Amino acid sequence: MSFSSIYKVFFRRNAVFVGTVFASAFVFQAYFDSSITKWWESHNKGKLWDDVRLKLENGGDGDDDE
Amino acid sequence: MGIAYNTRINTRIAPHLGKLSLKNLFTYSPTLMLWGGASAAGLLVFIEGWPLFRQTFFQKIPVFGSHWVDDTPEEDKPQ
Amino acid sequence: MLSQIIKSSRATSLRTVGRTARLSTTSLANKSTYRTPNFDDVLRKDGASDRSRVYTYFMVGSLGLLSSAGAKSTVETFISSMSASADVLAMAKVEVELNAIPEGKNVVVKWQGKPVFIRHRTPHEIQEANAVEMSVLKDPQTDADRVQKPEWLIMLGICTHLGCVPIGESGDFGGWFCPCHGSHYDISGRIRKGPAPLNLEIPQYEFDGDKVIVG
Repeated sequence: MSFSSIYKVFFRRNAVFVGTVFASAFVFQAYFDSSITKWWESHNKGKLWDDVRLKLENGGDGDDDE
Repeated sequence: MGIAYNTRINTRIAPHLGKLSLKNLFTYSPTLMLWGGASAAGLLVFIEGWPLFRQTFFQKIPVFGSHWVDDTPEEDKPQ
Repeated sequence: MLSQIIKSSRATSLRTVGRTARLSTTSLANKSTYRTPNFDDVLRKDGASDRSRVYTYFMVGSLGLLSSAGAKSTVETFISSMSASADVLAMAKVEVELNAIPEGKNVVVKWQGKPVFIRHRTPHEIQEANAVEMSVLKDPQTDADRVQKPEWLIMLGICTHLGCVPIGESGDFGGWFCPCHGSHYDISGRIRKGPAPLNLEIPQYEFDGDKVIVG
């Protein structure tokens, strides 16, 4: 796709331009949200409630007396 | 008294609202439709976090819908 | 590059119609006989490919994308800060043991700061509530519409007139009586006499074994 056709399709009409911006903002939000969450969960692996609950279900491992 | 032969120009004003008349509204309609689509997309951005719309629309999007499914176990929710 | 510019400034030519039409916008300028510089040498070969325009608009659009997502996030943060917090939601329901309420007794519990009347009705009272003709009611509603189990009547203890708390087991109809302006409610909590316009409100509740969960 040449630059001219990109220009003609997306930028020539302001309505299309704004619409594209909003539509990609919608997609971007979801994508950004899930990737940040994924990063956060990998960064804090072992400290999350999901991991702690697994540990508790497997019988506490003597951590109860602390 | 003579007869006045000069007649007044008979004009009528086409129905309009400010600068908008039926004719140019028709001309604008493709652009207006595109703007409608654009504002719908803008609306989508802002209702993305609204639980009602998440459950009624976004979860039903074919491939990516699972992003909006809340898989928190029932006992971990505050209510 | 520099030498090219110098060269092009020297190499001015008489503008001919159509040849450098790219630089002008009006046909009048095309017909002009003024000597104008010929920029052909310094113009990019892909000058008409809209490359820089696409780049600029893409950047503008990306800024718009990020700011609309940011604006939405900001708005969402403010709005969700207005919704009930977890401790409020935890208080939003109340559990009542029904075993402790003997037949023919009222219990008042507090739910979201409002009194809730729970009455264990006797079979006679249920019969009485069902026997009432719809035509005599100000706010017609059958007893079956107001209870899930006939022996348990659960309703908000707030007079629909001006919000006083009615007194149980009193009034002309054997139900509740509001002392503020004299509204009489029957054994199903329906308004029968006095200024109140509506029956006592029924909250959402569900039975869970011997317990009832209001909310």
